Amino acid sequence: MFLEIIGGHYTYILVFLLLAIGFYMMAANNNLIKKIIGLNLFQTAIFLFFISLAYVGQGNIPVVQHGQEEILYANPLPHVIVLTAIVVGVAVTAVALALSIRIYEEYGTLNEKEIEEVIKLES
Amino acid sequence: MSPENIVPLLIITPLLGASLPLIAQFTGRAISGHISIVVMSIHSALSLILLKAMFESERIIYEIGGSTFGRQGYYTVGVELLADNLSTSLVLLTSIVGLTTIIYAFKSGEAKSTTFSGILILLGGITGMILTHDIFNLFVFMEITGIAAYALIATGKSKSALSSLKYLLAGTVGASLYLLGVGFLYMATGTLNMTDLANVLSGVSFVPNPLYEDPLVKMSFGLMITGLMIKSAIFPLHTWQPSAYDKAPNILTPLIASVISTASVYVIIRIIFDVFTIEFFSANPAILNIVMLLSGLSVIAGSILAVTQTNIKRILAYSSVAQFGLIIISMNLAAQNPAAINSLIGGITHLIGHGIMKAGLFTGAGILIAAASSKKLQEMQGIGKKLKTTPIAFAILGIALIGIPPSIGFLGKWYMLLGAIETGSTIVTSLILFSTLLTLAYTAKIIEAFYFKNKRGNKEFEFDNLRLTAYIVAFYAISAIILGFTGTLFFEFFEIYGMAVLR
Repeated sequence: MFLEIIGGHYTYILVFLLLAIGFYMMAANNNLIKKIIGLNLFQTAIFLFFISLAYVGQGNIPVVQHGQEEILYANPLPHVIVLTAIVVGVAVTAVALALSIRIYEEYGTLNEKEIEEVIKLES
Repeated sequence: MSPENIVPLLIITPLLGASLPLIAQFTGRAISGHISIVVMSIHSALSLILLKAMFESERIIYEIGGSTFGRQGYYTVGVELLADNLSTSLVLLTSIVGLTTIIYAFKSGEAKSTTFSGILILLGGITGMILTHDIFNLFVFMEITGIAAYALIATGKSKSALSSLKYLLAGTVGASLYLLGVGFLYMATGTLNMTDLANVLSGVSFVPNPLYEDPLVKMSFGLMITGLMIKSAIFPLHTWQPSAYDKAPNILTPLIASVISTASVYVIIRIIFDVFTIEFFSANPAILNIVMLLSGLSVIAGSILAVTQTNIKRILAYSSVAQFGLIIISMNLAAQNPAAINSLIGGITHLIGHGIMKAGLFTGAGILIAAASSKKLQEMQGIGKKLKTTPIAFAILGIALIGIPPSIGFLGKWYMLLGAIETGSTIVTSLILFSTLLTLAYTAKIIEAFYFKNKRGNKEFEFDNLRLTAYIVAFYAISAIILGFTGTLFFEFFEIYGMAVLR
C-alpha cells in the first residue's frame, strides 16, 4: 500500500523536494545571485509539477492523425502552460540579474549582510 | 462600437501603445509623453463607454478567438474576458490613475521614453488582470504587471535596485505559489475558466458530486490565497512593500501604490467569490480563519507602523498595509456570512476609494518632496504656509482616508462597519474603529507638520512650474469628496455583483 503510493506518485515527491530546496536556498542564502538561482529552482519545480500532472500512462503525443478515432494521448494543456510559464520565468530572471548588476555597481558586493553594513556606514 | 469589442481593446491599447514611445525616440523629437497621454486618453474613453454599458447589461463575456472555440456541453476552450460592474469600475480607476501619472511624469520632465513604455506595459498588464476570466491567463498578466513594476521601481535614483530586487523575489514567489495553486485546481477539475471552475466545484455540471471536500481543492485555495496575499502586501508578507514604495521614483509611486496591490486584492475577491464561491467556505468554515487572522494583524501592525514613521512615503505605504487588511477582512466576513452583503459592498467601495485617495496622496507627496527636497516630515514643517493647492488637497485626502463624511473613505468604512455590526462580529467592528483611530493619528501628524509647526532651518522651499500637477492632487481631493455623495449609486451598482455571488 505504502509502496504503491510512493511508486505512483514519486515524481510529485521529487517535485516538492525540489520546491523546498529552492525555497530554502532563497531564504537562507545571503548571496543575491544564489537567491536568484533558488528562485529558478522553485519555479522549475512548479514546471515539473505541471508536466507530471499531464502524464497519461501509455499515452501518445497529442497529435490525432486523419481518420484515426480514439487514441490515448498526454494532456497537451499543461505543456502549453509550462511553455508560457518558462518564458515568464526567463524574463523575471533577466530582470533580476540586471538588478544585481546595478546593486553590485552601487555597493561593490552582492552579499546581503555586507550591503546592510554599507548602508549603515553611509547613513 | 459595440461594448463587446471594447473589452479586448482595453488590454490591447496600452500594450500596443507601449511600443510607440520607443519608436518615437528614433524620430529625435520629444513626443513620447504626448503619445502616452493620447494612448491613455483613448483607454479612459473606452473604459467610460464600457462603464456606461454596464448600466444596461450586467455582464459582457468576450471569447478570444470567437464562438467557434466554445463547444456546446463541454468546457470552454480558449480564454474568456469578463466585464461586469466590479471589473469595469476597477478598469476605469486604473486608466484614470494611469493618465494622471503619465501627465505628472511628463510635466516633471524626469521621465524618459522607456519610462512611458514601462508605464503603458504596466497598465496593460493590470487591465488584463482585471478583465480576464481565466485563472492561468491571470497569472501571465500578473507577471507582466510585476516585471514592468520591478523595472519601473529600479529607475529610482538612489538604492532603488535593492528594493526592486527584494520586491522581485517576494513577488515572483507569490506568483509562483499562485501558479502552483492553479496546477492543483486544474488537477482536481480539468479546467481553467472561472465560470466552469465554479460549476465543477459545486458539482452542477461535469462531475456528480461537489468537490469541496477534495484535499487538492483545499490545498489549491491555500496556495492561491498565500500567493495573492504576498502580492497585495498583507502582514507579515508585506516586508517588500514599504521599501519598494519608498525607493520608487516619486513620479511613479502614485501608479505603483494605488493600482498594483488594488489589482491583487481584486483577484482575491474573484478567487473567493467567483471561483471557489461561498458554498466552498460554508463546507470548510475553518479555511478562512487564518486569512482573517493575518488581515486582522495587518490592520493593527500596519496602522501602528504608519504612526511611528517619519518618512512621508513610508507613512502612506504602511497605511496601505492596514487598509488592505481591512478590505480583505470584510471580504472574508461576507464569504462566511452570505447575509453580510454590506461588508462585500463596503470592501469594494473602500478598494476603489483607497485607490483614488492613495493616487492623490502619493502625487501630493511627490510634489511636496520636490519642494522640500527631502522625504522627511520634519523638513516639510510649515509647508502649508508657502504652497497653496497641494497641502490643502493633501489634507483633504488625508481626512477622507480617516473616513470623515462626506468622502469616499467614509462610504467604504460605513458599509464595512454596517456589515460587521449586522453579522455581530465584535472583533471586526472594533478593528475597523481601531484602524480609523490610528489613521487619524498619522494623518493628524502630517497635517500638524504642514500647518501648525514653524519651519526649521533656513533652506527655502523650492517652487517650480508644477502647477498642473498640483491640480491633479486637487482633482483627486474633489473626486474623493464628490463620490462621498453618491452612496446609493455605489451601493446599487455593486449590489448587482453582491447579489450574484452571495446567493
